[in-house]
Amino acid sequence: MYELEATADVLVMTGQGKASIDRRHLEVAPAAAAVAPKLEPIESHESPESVLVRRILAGDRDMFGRLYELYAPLVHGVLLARMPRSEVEDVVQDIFLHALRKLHTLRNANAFGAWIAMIARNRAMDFHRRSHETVEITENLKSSDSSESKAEEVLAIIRTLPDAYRETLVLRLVEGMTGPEIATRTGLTAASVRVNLHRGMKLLRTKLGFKEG
Amino acid sequence: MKDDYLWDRTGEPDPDIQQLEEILGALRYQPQPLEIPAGLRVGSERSFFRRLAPRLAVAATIVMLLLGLGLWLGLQRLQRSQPQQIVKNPDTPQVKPNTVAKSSPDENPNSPLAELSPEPKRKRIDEPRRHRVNQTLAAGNTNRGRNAAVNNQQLTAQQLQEGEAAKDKLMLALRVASAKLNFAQRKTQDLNQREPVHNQHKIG
Repeated sequence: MYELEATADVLVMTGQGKASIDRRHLEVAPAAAAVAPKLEPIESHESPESVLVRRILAGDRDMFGRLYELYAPLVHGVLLARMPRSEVEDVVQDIFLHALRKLHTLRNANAFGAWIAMIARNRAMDFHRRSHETVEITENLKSSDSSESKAEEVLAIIRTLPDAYRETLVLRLVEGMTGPEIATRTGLTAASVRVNLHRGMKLLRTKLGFKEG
Repeated sequence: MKDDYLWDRTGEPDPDIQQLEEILGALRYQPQPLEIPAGLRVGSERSFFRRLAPRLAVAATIVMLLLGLGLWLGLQRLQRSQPQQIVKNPDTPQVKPNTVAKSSPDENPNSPLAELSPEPKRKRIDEPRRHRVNQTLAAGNTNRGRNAAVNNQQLTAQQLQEGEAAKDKLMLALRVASAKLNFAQRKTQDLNQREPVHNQHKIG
């Protein structure tokens, strides 16, 4: 049910808010700010990532590095909400290489975030289909540090939440993205991200034994 | 508000959320360079197919048309050849025109009507021609050829016997008529011989 909601939200794209938030992100990041003046959109509604996609398809492969910097935290968060941490790093790289190969199949360049997030979700599902038992062993072996083990414990609790909630919470609490940023990157509407954050946080508080704020 | 802090980190900070951020921050994404293989091509498939798509569509259409034409011609030839195959098939019963011709009085030299038939040679010549015409008609009209073949197959043994009996009766009637005609002819000849002078004006 939650996956259906999430899919439906992906289909509802908000172009204007997306572009403005992405420009804000480019201003914050110093590397992105250096690239920003070069990326002059052809049309007013064209977002920076669509400009990047267009330039990559035109043959400027270096621009894919920019796209990777912008969207790697999103893919990392989406995977972390579903897969063991030890596997996530390699899968992030694989997903971006796959995206580079298949970039020509992306019809709407403005929807790059939603597209790559969907690839990441599918890859996580494939991972669980293929090697479910291996996941548990590597996860236990990896968590040696105390702070990381505590983080892994909280993450394990977040993973018990419904799909839409856990992904949004991981992006907010682990990757440090704000609600509007999550909405922009994933292609979800701001309203559904807000709902997911509050409902997910409420469930998490209950599971962790926090008092309701 | 605490809700605003969860949404965009504005407003009054929520201590629970801050604590969670601190704990889970250890798992945050650490930037790593993306190693793109040198042989990796971007968007080449799209341009290749886009460039060739109209030509491929035209070629596919031509091939489909040629295939359709070939199929249609093949079916036409098959339909034309089918009636001949049915005639040649030994399993299907056939009406033999030769047997009918032999049993006819014209063909039988011993028949009493053989003398009366005015043009026996001409009929013999016509028969193969008629047969040829029938063949071409059968080849032209497949349905008729098929119907004939089906009718031949449907003849039962009883019907064949009845046909044979009818044929025998007809032959007997013809022989009787022939004998009567012969008798009448002889009688007239005898009368002529008895009164040659009396009937001179009729003969002359």
